[in-house]
Amino acid sequence: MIVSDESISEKTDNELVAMSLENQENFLYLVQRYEKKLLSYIIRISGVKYEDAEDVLQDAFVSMFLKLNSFDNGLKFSSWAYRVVRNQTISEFRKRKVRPLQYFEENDLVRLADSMGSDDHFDKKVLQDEIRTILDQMDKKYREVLVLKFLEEKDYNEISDILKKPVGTVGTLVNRAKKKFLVIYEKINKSKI
Amino acid sequence: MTDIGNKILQTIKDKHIKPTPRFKFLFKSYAWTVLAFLMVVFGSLAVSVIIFYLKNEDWSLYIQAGFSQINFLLLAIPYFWVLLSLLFIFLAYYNFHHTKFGYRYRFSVIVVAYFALSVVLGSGAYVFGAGESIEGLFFNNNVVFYGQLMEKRQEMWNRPMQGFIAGQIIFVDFNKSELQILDPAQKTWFVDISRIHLPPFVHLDFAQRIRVVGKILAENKIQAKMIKPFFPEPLENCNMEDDNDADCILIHHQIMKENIPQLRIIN
Repeated sequence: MIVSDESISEKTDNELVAMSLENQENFLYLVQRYEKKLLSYIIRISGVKYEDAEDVLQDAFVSMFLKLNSFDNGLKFSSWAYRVVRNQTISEFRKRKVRPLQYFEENDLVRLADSMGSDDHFDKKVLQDEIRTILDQMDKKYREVLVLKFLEEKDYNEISDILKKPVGTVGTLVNRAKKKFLVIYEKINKSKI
Repeated sequence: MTDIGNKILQTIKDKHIKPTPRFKFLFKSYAWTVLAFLMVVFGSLAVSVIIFYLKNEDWSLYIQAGFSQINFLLLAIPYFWVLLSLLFIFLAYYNFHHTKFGYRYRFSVIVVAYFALSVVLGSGAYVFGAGESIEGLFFNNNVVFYGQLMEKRQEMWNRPMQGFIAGQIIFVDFNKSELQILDPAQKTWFVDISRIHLPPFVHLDFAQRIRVVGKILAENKIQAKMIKPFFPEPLENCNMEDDNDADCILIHHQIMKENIPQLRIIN
């Protein structure tokens, strides 16, 4: 059953999943709904080029289609999709035996700095390079929660479902990540003086 | 239709990819849940044996035997069962963590919940005699060297100098009020039981593991002041003439077998 484009936007993710299971063509609507968000997520957590990120995303969507019957309604589809994409990205880097980098656009860095503290702490426009340095120095697990919380704008429950970690642990990680961010920032500033 | 969307759909069509059937995912999910449940059951049974040990442990005897407080504690802890129940709790956590939403709970929450559940279920199992039965089963069949471990435990209790003997009964003579027991060092002790009052719950049986508290009268003789079974383990179903009778497994133990001619009760 193919549905008209107008009515698609009114469909929930769960309805689109059910429709995709009936007809594979409908899976395209889910792809269209999430491709941009997931593509930028892949780039943020891996630092790959746009074309490479597209390849990872394609594999991730094919994997999603294959596992579509395992999707549980107790979960948000977006959380499940982020989880599959994250796993696909990690396994891609394992295959290549290289360490993932991260890539943040200027806008991302400003948003991150905004989330970390008050305006007194950061002159965001000037300190973009410094923010990149800070993120470089942070553990992957902290960077990952910062990206999901402040750039992907996911709540704790969603992050918990994406990373498959308890909500409490996610909260702890976010708080620690913010603290580490500020500590490294202070260090960089002191070393300048 | 987006470019990437096209490519994905084309790949799905070209490779004839179909979603994996739901029952496969359900089977996997149920398998983890069932395993998590089984681990709780096994853990609870191990806890029931721990309760059985602690309830049957005669704390006053340890103090009389002159053990230091640390030794006393170290001897009283049934390590085998404690480790086994911890292992089951860990396996239960591992299995639960792999269930669909198991990751949403913290390690500490799951472990504490499993521990509490094991204690509650283990207490129930103890009331129905599971602890005693399982201990006997492990000892008699020497499951995972449990029998040897228990012999070591008896060895620790065996302190003739302090008037403490541990061993298995190989001879009972009620006319002479005398027992013979074989200690873990394979030494035979003559136990004078004329001055003790045996409580009704103590049945002296062949191959029973007992502890004797008393006064050493000679190199191999002790005047018993108190006799305590390690655990109650009557061999009432044992047919002594049948070498293959599983109920006599203790008696057919190598050390005991050498003493079979002596094995009799004189009333």
